Amino acid sequence: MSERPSPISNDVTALRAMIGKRKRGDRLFSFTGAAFIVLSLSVLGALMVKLVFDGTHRLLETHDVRADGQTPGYRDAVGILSAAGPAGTLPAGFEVQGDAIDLRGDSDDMDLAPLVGRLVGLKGDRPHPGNLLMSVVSAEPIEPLPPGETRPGDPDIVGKIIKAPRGHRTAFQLVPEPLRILSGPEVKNLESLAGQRVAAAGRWGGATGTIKASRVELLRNETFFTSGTSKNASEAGIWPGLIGTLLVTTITMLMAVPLGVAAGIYLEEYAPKNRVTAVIEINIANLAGVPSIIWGLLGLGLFIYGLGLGRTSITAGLTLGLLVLPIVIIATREAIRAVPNAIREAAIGLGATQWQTVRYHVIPYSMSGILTGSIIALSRAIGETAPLVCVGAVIFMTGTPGLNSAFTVMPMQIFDWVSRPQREFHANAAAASLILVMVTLALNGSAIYIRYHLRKKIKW
Amino acid sequence: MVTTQAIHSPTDDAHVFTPTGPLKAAVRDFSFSYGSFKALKNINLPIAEKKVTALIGPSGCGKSTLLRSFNRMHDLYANNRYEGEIRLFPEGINLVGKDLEPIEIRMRCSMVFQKPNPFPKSIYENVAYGMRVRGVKNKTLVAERIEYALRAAALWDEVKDRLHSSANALSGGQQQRLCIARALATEPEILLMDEPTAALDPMSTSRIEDLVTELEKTVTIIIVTHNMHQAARISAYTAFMYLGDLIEFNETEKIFTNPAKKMTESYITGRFG
Repeated sequence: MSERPSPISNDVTALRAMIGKRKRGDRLFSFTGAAFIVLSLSVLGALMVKLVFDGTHRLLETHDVRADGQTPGYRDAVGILSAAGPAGTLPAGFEVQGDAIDLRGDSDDMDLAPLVGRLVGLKGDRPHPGNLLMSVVSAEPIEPLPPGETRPGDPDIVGKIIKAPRGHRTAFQLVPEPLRILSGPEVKNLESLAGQRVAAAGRWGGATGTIKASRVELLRNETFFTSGTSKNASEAGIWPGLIGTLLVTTITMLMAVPLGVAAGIYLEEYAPKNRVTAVIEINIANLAGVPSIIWGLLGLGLFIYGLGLGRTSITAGLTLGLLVLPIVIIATREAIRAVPNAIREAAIGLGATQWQTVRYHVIPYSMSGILTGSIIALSRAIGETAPLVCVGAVIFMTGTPGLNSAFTVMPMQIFDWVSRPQREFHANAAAASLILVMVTLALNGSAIYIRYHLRKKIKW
Repeated sequence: MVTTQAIHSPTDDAHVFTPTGPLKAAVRDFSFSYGSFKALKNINLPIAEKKVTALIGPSGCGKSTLLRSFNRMHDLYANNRYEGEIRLFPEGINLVGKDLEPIEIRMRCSMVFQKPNPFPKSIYENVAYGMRVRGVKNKTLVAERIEYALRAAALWDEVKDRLHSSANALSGGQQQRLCIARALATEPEILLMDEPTAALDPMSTSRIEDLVTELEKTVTIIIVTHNMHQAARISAYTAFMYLGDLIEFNETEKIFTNPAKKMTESYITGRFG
């Protein structure tokens, strides 16, 4: 076309061409959007696959020897190897090296004399499975250390057991009960061990040899859920962290939800709309973005130094309660704002008081939003670590945390485990992460369910 | 409450006309402003008892503002100021008096809004709400009142078998009649209707209009409408308002056949508005 076309063309072909060009934006955007969703889903998937891959065997393949009942439990045993030979004899191939075994104990003034002449169970270090009994020829305590000094090497050693000299096989006896197989990431399939010769070589005083496994039996093991911190990855568990997390989250919920919902309702329904409330509103929005460590410092200053609540679950719960309070307030206000003014006018117009309007209309109709916001706030609280470090969450914990005692939470334990060099601890961290993720997913799932369930009933 | 309104306001000769029957309410020298915007200027308007009074006028003329003042709906929002009085007879209390509890007013003058606004609850609970807020516990009494109100709103036959299903399942016209039933359940002295048919189709509109004519026998009604034919059909008296002024008030027939003001004539003949 030589002449200048009219600015508005009615040429159908040209219009069609233009539509194609204009729709390029749609195509580009929907493609990018879909690509980003696929990307984020695959990152999420990769995370879950890694956690499951690293963590499941710690959750599923570790079993409790106590189900056996007869033997002193080695809590990290995963199965039983029945010895092929008769009890009381050392199977062929066993050889004794070395002559002294370090005896570990909890106290320095342990009386070792009664051990002489008795059979003592010895546990091997992983990855070498099995245990042996041996008769003690003599035992002598190590000189207790003066307070404040530490012994080079293993600080738990309290004495030495002197066994029969090398070559005296009678000094060793095979345990009459089945041998234990200790857990570890490398023990994947115990059934395959049945009938095999399994190396029972241990570092327990240097005894080496092999025994034949004729029967393999899987045992249940709940150590991971029932035990606390341990130096052995296979004996470590999440119990204190799990209970601590539940306690702290409960306190957080009891504090943040009533306060936050009440504050949200007051600000939205009752407070006059003026400069003061505008400033408060901006500040609440800002508080929701304050780094969590700052809240930890506030908790330290306010609850520990100010109110003297100590480094306890209560302090932790209150600190996290403060942290999520702005989130609950904002969620409540958003939910309340979604209730149309027409509903308020309808109720007020019939002579309802403001509280009657709020109590019977505004709160019920915004309940799904309020609950969703509260649950999302709680799942944020569950994952927080930094503020709890400030208010004294402990890393080494074996007992059950109470309301008014020292506490730890699962993220702290995960952080502890993942910072250790041993690979087994990383498996623990993965398993604990898996549980933490599941708890969060369950909470968010319930939020979605509640929202769906409550919204079904309410339409505007 | 003496006001200092301009003497040459067009409202000056508007209150020359007074209805013949007894009065239910009277607006006297009433002014209203949203912040600095004056929405109503020195309004004087008598409301005849058990008659329909229609407020007409183009958008922004202040007719809804005036209607909502009868119910103190403006107290819900900040920056609203009003002066003058709205007397409710026979006692002669001032509806907009600062010392009068707005909740009392709202229980005595019920409002029906432009858009149907049933609560997202059952039909039963919607109608019962006026009694609930009064603390009426007697179930038989509540059930009786609900049937009375639904019959009065010409909705009973359509919903009597599903009183406990959600009000949201009703059609728009039914919802509006439900809102009327809700307002009637507590036997208000005045029924305030703010363009009650603006969001409805012609069929529903005509049902509501029939309903208003029927209700006129028992309750005083003030209705705001954009639809001049509607005002002509259902009201006994009509007030024409423009930009916050009451231009003309008279019997509906007079307004539509022989308006005294040029402006009224222009509006009802569709030349502006």
